[in-house]
Amino acid sequence: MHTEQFSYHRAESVEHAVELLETSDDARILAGGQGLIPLMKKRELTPDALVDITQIDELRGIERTDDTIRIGGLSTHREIADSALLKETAPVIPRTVAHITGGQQVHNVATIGGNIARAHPGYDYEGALLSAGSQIVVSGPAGKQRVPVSEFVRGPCSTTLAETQLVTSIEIPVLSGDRRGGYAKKKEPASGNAIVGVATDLLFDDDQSTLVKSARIAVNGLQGCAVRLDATENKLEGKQLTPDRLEAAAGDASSSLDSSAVLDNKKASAEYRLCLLEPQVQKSIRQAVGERTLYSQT
Amino acid sequence: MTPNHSDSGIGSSVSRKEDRKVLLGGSKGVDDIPLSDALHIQFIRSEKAHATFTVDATDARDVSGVVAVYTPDDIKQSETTTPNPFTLFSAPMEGVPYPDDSLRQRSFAEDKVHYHGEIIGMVVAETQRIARDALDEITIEYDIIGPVVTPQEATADDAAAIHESVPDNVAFEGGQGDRDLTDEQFENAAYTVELEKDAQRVSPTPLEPRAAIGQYDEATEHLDIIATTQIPHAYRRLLAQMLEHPENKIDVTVPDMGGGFGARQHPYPADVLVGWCAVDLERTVKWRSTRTENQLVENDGRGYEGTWEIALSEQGDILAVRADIRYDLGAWIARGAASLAEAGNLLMTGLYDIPAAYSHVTGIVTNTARIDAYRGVSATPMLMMLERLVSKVAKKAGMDPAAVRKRNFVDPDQFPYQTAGGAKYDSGDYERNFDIGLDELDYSSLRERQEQLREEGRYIGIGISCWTEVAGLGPCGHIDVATWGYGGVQVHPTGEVTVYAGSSNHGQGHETSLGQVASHELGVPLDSVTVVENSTKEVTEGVGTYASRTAALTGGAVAKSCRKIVQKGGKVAAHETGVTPDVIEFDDGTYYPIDSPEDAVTFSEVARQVHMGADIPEEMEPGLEEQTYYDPENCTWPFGTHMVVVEVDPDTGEYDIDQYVATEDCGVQINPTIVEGQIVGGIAQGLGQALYEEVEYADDGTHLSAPLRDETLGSNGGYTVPKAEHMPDITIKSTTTPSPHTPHGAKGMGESGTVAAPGAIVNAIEDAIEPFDIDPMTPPITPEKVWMAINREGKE
Repeated sequence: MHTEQFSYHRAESVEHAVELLETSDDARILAGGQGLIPLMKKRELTPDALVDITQIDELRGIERTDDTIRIGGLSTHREIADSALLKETAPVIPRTVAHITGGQQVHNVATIGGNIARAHPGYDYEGALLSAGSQIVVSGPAGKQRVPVSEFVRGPCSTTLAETQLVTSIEIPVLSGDRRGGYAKKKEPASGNAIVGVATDLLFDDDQSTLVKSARIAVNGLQGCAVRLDATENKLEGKQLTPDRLEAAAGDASSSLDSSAVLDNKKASAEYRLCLLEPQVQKSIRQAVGERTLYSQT
Repeated sequence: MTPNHSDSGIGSSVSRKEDRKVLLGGSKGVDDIPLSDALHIQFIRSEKAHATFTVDATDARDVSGVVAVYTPDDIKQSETTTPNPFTLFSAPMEGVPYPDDSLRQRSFAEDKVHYHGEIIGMVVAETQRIARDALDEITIEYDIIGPVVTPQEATADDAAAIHESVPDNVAFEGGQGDRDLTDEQFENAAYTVELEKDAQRVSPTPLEPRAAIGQYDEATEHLDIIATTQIPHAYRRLLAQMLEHPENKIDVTVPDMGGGFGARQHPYPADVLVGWCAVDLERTVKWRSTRTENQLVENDGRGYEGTWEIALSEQGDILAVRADIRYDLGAWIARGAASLAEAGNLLMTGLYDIPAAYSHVTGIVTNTARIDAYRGVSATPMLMMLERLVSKVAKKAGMDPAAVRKRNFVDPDQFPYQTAGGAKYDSGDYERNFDIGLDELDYSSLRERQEQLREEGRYIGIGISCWTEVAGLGPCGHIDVATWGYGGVQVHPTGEVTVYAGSSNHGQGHETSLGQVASHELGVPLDSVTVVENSTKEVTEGVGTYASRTAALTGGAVAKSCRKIVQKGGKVAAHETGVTPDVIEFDDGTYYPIDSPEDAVTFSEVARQVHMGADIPEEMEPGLEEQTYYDPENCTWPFGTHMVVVEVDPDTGEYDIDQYVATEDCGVQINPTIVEGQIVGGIAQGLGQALYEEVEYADDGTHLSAPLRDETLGSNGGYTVPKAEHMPDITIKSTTTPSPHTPHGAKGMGESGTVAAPGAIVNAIEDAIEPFDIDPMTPPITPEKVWMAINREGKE
């Protein structure tokens, strides 16, 4: 055991978890432990207490209400990747999960709540959740709050989550039509984290249509937070999708970005990240387009 | 006599006997051994690379549960170093005095630290966590001395001396080969190429971090060590010297160990201190390193930098190779380090008949962890550079790189072949092996396709690398430690067999391969053979597993012991059947007189009879058990060709390995599936060197490559060991050129992939982007480096 000593508490309910967080100076939530435990082993994090939320049933499950998909915060990568409901209604999410490094062992324990709460720029969920228009549902002493993912993540490994709050679920709006998703990623080879990860959420009328009703494309790993690619989206939205248009849209990917905010570090230079953006955007859109045939405009 | 057991003997790809245990999670490492009353050790390690220091452990001693804190004032420094040196080779560098003993590492730093992670002392506590907590209570005051992290820094005019005995930080310096002849050949050459290499330290990274348990019984003065080592018997011997404890009162056991790759070939200071602590406290003590601690101080590999050159005649004959090498030794000279420099020179001419070779090596100490053997050892840098140079000089001369290789191979009738570097290759048939690779690629069509694709803006490249290695080191007297192979064989009265092997299995499949040798020689089924290894309690002697030695040397020893047994059994069979031993045949587990096969006696009947001892020849002792210390005539020199086809995307610098063909020749293969496994594993580590791996130190000497996955913002993501997703599909072919001197013709082959892959992959990438006319690449070749080269320097 390499961690510092800590006390362990098993929360029976969300309210109980909040109570436990409130009564400790420096408590951390234990869900899948994939981000937390390595940091504790290295003593980079030394919480006084761990609040284990894995027995709270209300944090589990993926279900649909009228116009919303609710993904319980404790849903594992595996459950999300295998969810028929998500494949149908928000396919960008399971598409993305398939790219999360770690293999089955990690996918069986790591959770979506833990992943987004860590808000690491190399992690993959943030871009996908942003493209899907998600809200992060958090609970704390003041009750339940819905925060758009773009506001929830403030910066690299930084969120608006207070020390007394936890992520309870993620909500994704249901759209009517044929919704398609794609995720393409250039991995850093040691960590498997994204140097550039592009999530695409496209909406068509049906599985034959090539008219893009809406296009939401976001990139993670490129900057401190995931960011939407407005220029690319604008080139696609409301248009007939053709090979030329797809390429042109990808070619515009960086034009709406603040290039001074592009990460420039040992994993990849800013210049190289930008070089990778266009081909990854192309791949991501192509994956979303799937089997449908694109015709050149005549 | 033609013994064999066709189902499971030599040459059979039987499934590994150890697989079931390994795959079902049944393996037990050091940390899995249940201990009821062990104390736990945490080492106090230097956080600085170069400094004098003082330690204050007062607060740590007060922590509840701490049993002892040892600082340099409290430990007895052993008289010998860790490990003590060995001097080497049959072709020593002329006139080079061997490095001073003061450059050999001591068990702990007394008042000055020389690299990040060096041991200053240790904490012993009732639990691992208490020991770890107490570490935080220790105050170390450092007085920093300017660290020298690279060979250039270490040899700069104003560089601080790491050791008083070498004020210029140069531990040794010397040349090997015929310098004048080499220089002359270069003057007469039509084409020459010069290529720089940087040190590129890489980490062996066995999966299991180092660990050790020491158990001391004061009544018998017996010290029992359970540890992660590749050399149990030699480890015992070295520990006995360093602890000044009788060797026959120490035992060393190695449980299932998760890899070694050379990094577990010699004991470390921590190993000595675990033993010392057990004796001092008369208790059971345990140390288990974390991954971070393991990577911080485990010996790295490579560290060769400098200039390599090749000379070619107008007609395409390689005239000479020359190298000027700066060898980064780390802060202390590892046990094999100086000798590795010499070993590299032996084979610096590779598979080619090159009349002249000269290399000059300067061994330089730096404020970093030691560099020692790592799979491929010095053959990897030497042959990667040779193979890059052959391809480059061929292109410079307007010749095909494959054609130049074929023209220059040593011919089969030249064996035994004396290299210009000083080695004597035992056997080879290089061109036959090489042609298999060319056919598999359909080489000439592929070259045409390469031209066509370039017209379309697609860039494929073909890389070739030929290899050999010093496998199965080697004849006694080659180096000044024992290098024979040990194999004892006991035949039970039931006919079952136990093999006692002096090697160390830590993933190589010895339970199976050595069992196959016995099965083959004795004509018994593999299921009837048990192989015992990794224990000084059970196996009489051994030198461990390193330098691709087990198939040839332990296998050779087992074969020889089996043959002694078969011979003794033959005398019993002759006695039984009333004939003379010279007319007894032995085939597939049965003895029979040549003229009356119906009078057959089975091997197990003979075994029972010898064991009982009642009805055997008068002069014969009962019992059917033999042992062999096999001293080979020569090392074995396996060889092969790796050919790689890559495609590079010039827009992003990303590359895909489309084809990887390895054609190997390790003589007679005991188990072709195990050979394939060794090739694939070796290629993974060679691919790591070509594309991913490099140990990094900060300017102040802080080691930066400990985690394999690093989520620290702005970090490089961790030290990249290649994973399954990074591996290409590999086509494996083979030829068989038996070793003329090992008992069953086997050669070692454990390092082939690590030696050959870097050159083949680097050559392939450089071949692909040749139209951009860029400078030579520096491994590890990341996509970003390729992209930068094309887009910054690219001239097309």
